[in-house]
Amino acid sequence: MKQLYFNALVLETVDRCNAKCAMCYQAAGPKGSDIRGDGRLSLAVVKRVIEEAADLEELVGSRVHVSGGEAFINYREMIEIFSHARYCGFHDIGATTNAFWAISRNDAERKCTELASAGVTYLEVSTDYWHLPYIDPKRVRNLTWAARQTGVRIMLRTLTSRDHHMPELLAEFTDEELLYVQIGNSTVAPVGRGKYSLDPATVYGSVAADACCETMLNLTISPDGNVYPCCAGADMTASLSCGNVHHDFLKDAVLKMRTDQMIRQLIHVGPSSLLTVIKTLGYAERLLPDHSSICHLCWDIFRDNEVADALRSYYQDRQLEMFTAYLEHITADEPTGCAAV
Amino acid sequence: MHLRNETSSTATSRIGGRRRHCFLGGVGLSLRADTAAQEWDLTPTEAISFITRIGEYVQSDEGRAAGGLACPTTLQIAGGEPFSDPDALDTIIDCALHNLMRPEVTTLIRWVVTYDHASALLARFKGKLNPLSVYVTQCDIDRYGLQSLIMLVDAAHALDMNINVHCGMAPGMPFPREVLAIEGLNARTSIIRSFPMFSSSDVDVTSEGTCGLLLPEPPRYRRCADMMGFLIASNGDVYPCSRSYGIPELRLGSMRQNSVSELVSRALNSDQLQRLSTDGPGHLYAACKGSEVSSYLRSGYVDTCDFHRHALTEPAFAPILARTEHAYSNRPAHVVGPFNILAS
Repeated sequence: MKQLYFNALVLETVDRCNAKCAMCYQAAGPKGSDIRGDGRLSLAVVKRVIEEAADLEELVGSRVHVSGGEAFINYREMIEIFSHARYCGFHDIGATTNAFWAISRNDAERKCTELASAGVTYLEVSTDYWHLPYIDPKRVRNLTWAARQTGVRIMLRTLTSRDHHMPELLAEFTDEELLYVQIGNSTVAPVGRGKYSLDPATVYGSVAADACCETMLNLTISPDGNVYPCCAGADMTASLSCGNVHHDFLKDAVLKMRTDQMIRQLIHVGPSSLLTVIKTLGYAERLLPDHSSICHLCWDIFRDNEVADALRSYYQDRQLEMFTAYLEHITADEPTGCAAV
Repeated sequence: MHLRNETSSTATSRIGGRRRHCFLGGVGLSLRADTAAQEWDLTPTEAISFITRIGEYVQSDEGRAAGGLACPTTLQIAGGEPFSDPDALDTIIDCALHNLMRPEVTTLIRWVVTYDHASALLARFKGKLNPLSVYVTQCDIDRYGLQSLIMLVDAAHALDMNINVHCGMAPGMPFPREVLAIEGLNARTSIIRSFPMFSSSDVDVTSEGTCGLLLPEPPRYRRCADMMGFLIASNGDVYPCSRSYGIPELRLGSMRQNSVSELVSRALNSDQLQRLSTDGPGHLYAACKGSEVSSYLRSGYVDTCDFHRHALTEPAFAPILARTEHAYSNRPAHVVGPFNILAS
């Protein structure tokens, strides 16, 4: 049986964001998410989840990542979260931000110092064409400069489309400001608010038939407490939730991911492998004709609860068949031949 | 399923417990100390032996309990040109996969002549190797052409292989901005990273154009934890990070003379490395700055590693470091070897 493991614990602490970007897959804004509502994880719950995560064997490495919405709108609370993650033994601690708080180099340096002393080792900064109406790129430059002074690693999270590439974002950056910066580029996807605002003709991509996400997973808690195996679109579906931290242990949610045949198929084989089943079940017309990535495809399948329920029933039946066959083999005292994913 | 409010005492009882992280983040294997030549110094047989021994260790009860190396762990293969011997590389990668490692290869663009050639070579590693890391500078682009990088990116993407581009910078060698415009990197998920290919000794601080590359002091909060690894040099020596190659005080031992268990234990039991991991070398900088030989400090540093190497190679600092930390009290007479940043 293939091993399920996560690279990081991701805490989406809040749905609210000070920006309201046209491409936002969470459809976040000042009043919360247009899709998910105005959720927020309380500090007590976040601390408890971090403590539970510290015991999880499936969480390889030692990374805690906080995101939103824009998590830094609750700045003082963030400091407490980072400190607690460090107290619990995590040593790679960071967050996603749009850098709105880096008003000047001095401000940015002061806050980076405070963050670093609380345990922050890196920051991911969302910057792209769609953030420009809300966030002055000068603030991103202030933050990259300050982060280098204090020793905080920076990754610029850029998004591109056919008509918006990386150079237009980074033209103003000097070489000194780019030194030690990591740029993590993704293609924009017509998900969330982007589903309505992006011209499909400008969106890159085609799904690789055999791609899967088993090496890229992050154990994710959404602002409403739901637990997901990733933070790249699955977290915007209700059907892929494997538990809720308000009611369940984190380890029980992970156990569900490990034992749910549909989720195993999704993670270890890839969302494209579900398409044949979806077609057989008669739901093919529910899906979009094209997808920009496996994350986009995954979201498209599981945003529709009816499709997700049908898939889950199908795989539960297959799981039962496999289990029955296994029992028969055990009874007959023969090798199982049961090749579980 | 348990209800949380029924079991809150269980959760509370864990508060005192701290997560044990794997101290050495991943494994690095340098096939050759420098990248100027394509051939390997390390034989494939020995490389396979090293990987097998590490694999057996990380999967053993002892290895799992020690918490030195993760399982699965990454294996970064670099040095010389890994693709100069595809058959041997293929065997090494198969061995890594068999030992539950996630192999990654670091390459340069100089071998990329045509798209078909790059595609045929990479096709051998489809499904086995992900991501591919390519190191490039403005000088490489001037010499081999941006097209070489474009062909490599396109060939990798056609095989569903992610590619990370590492852009080296130095005084007089700017960030290669053409890289940002490559269609293949904009059309896919990709990582582009800039890194310094110089130390503070290379920078003319009187030059307005380059002095901004240095920081007035090493960053106070830059810890070494994320840079720690189990890095095997081509002669079998093992170091805890890529910037410590050739520094005797930081050498953990040799794969040719020590067991993996011994090497990992040395790292785990080293107060010096533990402090570097959690705090970085800031305490050494403070000691040097407050000493009678503070004038030996440079007027700026590229990063904490730049300072740390300077402190360990400048004889004037030897007594200061020895006073500050016992591990530095028996310093060998000199430091050997260039540091190999490509293995980072």
